[in-house]
Amino acid sequence: MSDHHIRVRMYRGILGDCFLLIYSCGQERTHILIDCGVLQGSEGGKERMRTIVADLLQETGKRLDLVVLTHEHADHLSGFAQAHDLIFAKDVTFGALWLAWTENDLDAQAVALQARFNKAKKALALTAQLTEHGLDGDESVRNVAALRRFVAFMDEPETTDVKRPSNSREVIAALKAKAGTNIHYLEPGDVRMVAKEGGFRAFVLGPPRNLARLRKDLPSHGPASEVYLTTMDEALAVTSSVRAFCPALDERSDPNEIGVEEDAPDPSPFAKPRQSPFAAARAAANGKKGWAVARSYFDPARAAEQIDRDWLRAADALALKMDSDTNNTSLALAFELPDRQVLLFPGDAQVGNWLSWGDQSYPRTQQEGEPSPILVNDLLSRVTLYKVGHHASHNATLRHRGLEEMKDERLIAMIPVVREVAQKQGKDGWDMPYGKLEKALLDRTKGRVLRGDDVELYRERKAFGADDAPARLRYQDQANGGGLWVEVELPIG
Amino acid sequence: MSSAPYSAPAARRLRVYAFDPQASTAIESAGVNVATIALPWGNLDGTLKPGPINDYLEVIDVDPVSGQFYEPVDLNRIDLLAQDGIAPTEGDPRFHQQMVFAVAMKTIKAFERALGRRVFWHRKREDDKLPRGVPKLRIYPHALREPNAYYSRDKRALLFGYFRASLTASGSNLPGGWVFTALSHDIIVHETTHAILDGLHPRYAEATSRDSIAFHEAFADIVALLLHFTMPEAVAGEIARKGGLDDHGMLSDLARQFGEATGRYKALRSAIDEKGPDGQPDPARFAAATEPHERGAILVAAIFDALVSIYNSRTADLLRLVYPGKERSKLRDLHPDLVARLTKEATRSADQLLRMCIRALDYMPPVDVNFGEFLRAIITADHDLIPDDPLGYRLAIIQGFRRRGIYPDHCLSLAPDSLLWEPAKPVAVETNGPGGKPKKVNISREFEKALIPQMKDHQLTDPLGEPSQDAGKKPQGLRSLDLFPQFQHHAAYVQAHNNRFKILQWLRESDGEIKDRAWEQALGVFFSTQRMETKVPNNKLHTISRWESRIEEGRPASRRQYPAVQVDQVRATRRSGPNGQDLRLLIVEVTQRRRGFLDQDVQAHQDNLPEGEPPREADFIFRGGATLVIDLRNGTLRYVIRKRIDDVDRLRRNRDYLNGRSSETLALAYRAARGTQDEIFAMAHRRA
Repeated sequence: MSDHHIRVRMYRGILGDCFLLIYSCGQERTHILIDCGVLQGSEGGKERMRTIVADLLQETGKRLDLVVLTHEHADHLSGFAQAHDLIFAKDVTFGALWLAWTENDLDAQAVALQARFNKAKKALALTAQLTEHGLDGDESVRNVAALRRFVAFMDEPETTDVKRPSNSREVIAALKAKAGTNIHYLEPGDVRMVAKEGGFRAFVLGPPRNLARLRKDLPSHGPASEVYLTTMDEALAVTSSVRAFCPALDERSDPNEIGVEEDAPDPSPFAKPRQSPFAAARAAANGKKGWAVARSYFDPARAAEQIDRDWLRAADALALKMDSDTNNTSLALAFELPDRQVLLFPGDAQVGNWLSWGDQSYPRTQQEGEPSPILVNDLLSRVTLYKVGHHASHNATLRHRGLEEMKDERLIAMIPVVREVAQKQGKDGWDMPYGKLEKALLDRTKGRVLRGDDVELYRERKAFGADDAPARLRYQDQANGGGLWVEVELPIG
Repeated sequence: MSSAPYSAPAARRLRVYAFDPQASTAIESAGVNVATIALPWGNLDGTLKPGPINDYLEVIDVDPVSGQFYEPVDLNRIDLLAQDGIAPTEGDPRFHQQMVFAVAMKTIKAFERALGRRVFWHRKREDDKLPRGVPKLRIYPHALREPNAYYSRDKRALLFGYFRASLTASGSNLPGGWVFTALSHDIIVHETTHAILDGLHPRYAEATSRDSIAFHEAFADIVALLLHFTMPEAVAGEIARKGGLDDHGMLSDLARQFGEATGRYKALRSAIDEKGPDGQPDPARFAAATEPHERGAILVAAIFDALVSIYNSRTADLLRLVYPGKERSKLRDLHPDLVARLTKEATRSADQLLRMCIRALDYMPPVDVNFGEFLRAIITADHDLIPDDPLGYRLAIIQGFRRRGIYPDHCLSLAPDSLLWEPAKPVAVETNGPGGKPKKVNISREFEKALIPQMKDHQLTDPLGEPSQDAGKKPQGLRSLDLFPQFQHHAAYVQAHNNRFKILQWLRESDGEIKDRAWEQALGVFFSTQRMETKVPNNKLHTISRWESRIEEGRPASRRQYPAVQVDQVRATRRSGPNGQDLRLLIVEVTQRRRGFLDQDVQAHQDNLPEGEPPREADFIFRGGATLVIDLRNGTLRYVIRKRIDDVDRLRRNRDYLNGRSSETLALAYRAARGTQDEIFAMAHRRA
């Protein structure tokens, strides 16, 4: 083993991200943990996360020099709650904690963003509860419930343990408390030293400050206040709808949710004399009585034309938007090794985040006496390891200004995904990894793609066994190629 | 004792908000916010029943979120007949029903007047089988609780939402107060136009390019904008209030109001506002705009620009008479008589322009439309009805498009005569394979031959003479087309329906190889029978959808099939121009489907599928076809507006567009099934 190398370990068997980077320079070792979570509701997820956390603490000797949290989705941070007693134990030491600027409570833009997210979360939490009110068969409700697995914690709450964080905000608070004063909120364009030995640096690519980039689906003009207004209105509309539809929800609001206010159910906008209950109209129509319009609407032959559930599509759209927006707040990092190799960890950054990487240079301005700032295409051209974003879904890896710029012959790709789990989600299953993207990655890396589900061990061992393979492969269970994790060791120099 | 009959009323008058309820709370607009819509009295549009229901519309006021089914309004009640319907109010759902009904009917009537025929809604497959009568469009004034409204093709309905205004930034609305999209004149017109356009051009709802989706939105906005200017109440108020005649300010001010109720009209507003320092729009912006809403907004702005030009030229003389030598923008405090005259000119300009835009719809290709083609269609349709252009309307429109860099493809110049569609020409067919002597086929003759004898039937006959040989013989093929003008809604529907099947029959039967191939070339589709398939080398696109031929049973499966065509529309129209011009047209739209694939190699493989290999399911549907414009006065085929099914470039552009678009939304990752049931217009509005 060379005395100057880095090992990148991907924990397997989880639809979620948990990466451990072990940088060795001579006698010095630096341990970096990037995310630690699993999609909620996956079978045995909690036990798996606890095993993983125990393993990584053992490997690092309970010393985490740098903890990076890319964004607040459960599949990136649930482990900190599920194994909180292990990782927040007194004898575990944290060096620095890196978060995106969006997590800074003293940043006005971040606070506004969080307020917007909270409204939407509340609306979606209410919608998801409709599954218990006779709407579990509705496509939109099911889509919303599935997407909430990124947001909400679904383990049964442990009543005895008050310290256990029960939602993503509490996890972030616990991480901040553990890191103490050594918290860094990173801005795009920042350049940070990771380890002094040899000069191991990180470039902060995202999340962008630009709202249009942050929300790719909004037009790029118009003042910021309007951007917030629109989405807030959508969230309010969903909340109002669900409350009106099912007033009973308020009393049993989800304890895991933040700030569910105790306001009244929202009835019809019209005064009592103008009201006329739906059920009465239906009963009359079924008895061939009542208004002609009602008989036409309730005509069994035309049931497909009824609109009883169309209002729920708005919640569906909001859930997708929220997911996409939160992904775009991902802290996207490019680690530059002393020999100029780059390891790209974009979190779950989506199109807008990727596109923003070219908006600034690294560092943002020319420093006196320093070399010229670096541009993003330079960084991308030197990528030798790419952590594939958002479990290799179709739009979380940019083609033209992303993958196609990664020209280094040594490129390796790691996809933290379990296809089997992804396919069980939602109504039609989630398309992860996206076939075409995986194929493109296989082409570009000459087969050096490591997936979170160890289903293609033969292929990956063959690819890494080639004479020109840039890295060695290690498994927890080296003999069988299985186990909790897979690791690549990149020589430096 | 029976009394002598009274004369019937001229119209049924219904009151609506001219803008929306919010305008009633502002001092400057409160006085002009009520307009009266006059609808035809009598039963031509069907008996009016509580709902309201007639032959076109069925207003159903169900509110599933609130668990309500509001009482339907009965517009025949004596109390309402005596006072032009319910007075505008937000608090009575029955007024909401009255308003959506009245404004939707007004929109329908605007289309019928310009097109010269009845409006029918989107045809569903089951409509052909079930004898359910003429399909109606359902309108739900309180279907959703969100800042949204949309047209649903599957449910053949307009769904309107209502929502609480934001507590923090509600503009001039009451914070937390209710806002109803069903009370906004412009939103109702916009959504009704979506439904009408979808009935007219069902393929325009398919995403084939960045223009195709944008066109639907833009056209709906254009109609809403121009219909607004046909309301004298609104326009006079604006002219009087502004005092001056800085008409650009006035018009754009209206458009600004247009955007208040929801955020979704923002694009329109900004398109009008965004001008360079020289007061001119940036022509490069159109070429750079990729987002459909942004492109649509540019089209709306181009039409709006034309409206300003037309209005200016129509009022120049008036202003010279009253205020000689004074600059337009400096005029203030106009005389009420002048305001009335200017209002008349403004509403007339808008009305003419609206008719031009609507008439153009019959001169457009059946699939994959782009904005340049819309310009050519406007110019050609207007030219056919009104050969000269003394007031320069067509020039005003061309100028509006030119200033924004919207150019048609393959045109010599932007002169009006260069923009006309090329007249239908005889088709040259190669007879003995490649290199053989081509034979010219005058396809226009087909319709002349078929339609002119119909006119001969009306010649003077000797009532005592021998009956003609043809008498009692059932006409076949094109001759069997029924072109007798129908005024009853139902009769017109049945006639259009039957004519569609007659054209289809004509296309399915061979007229001999040379003629068939001439029509294939003309229509840009393939409908040849198996007999020809062996001879024509480029007729091997296995991706084109096939008919199972019943005639040739017993042949191997692959041989029994031949390309299928669809007849989307057969519409007989009768138009009259402002000076009594009369034009009778038959519009025929023929299309064909082809399986499209997002991967070029897969496409090539599927196009030349080896014998025996099962075909793969398509990633998207690619269509080709043509619109035929036939002059019924003399049977000539005037234009063939074509999009070829085997157009390699168009297929590539369509594929590139779909590939590029999929990266913008996460929906594809979470809903793996391709044919998601999403409401296309709802999604466009929700921007998910």
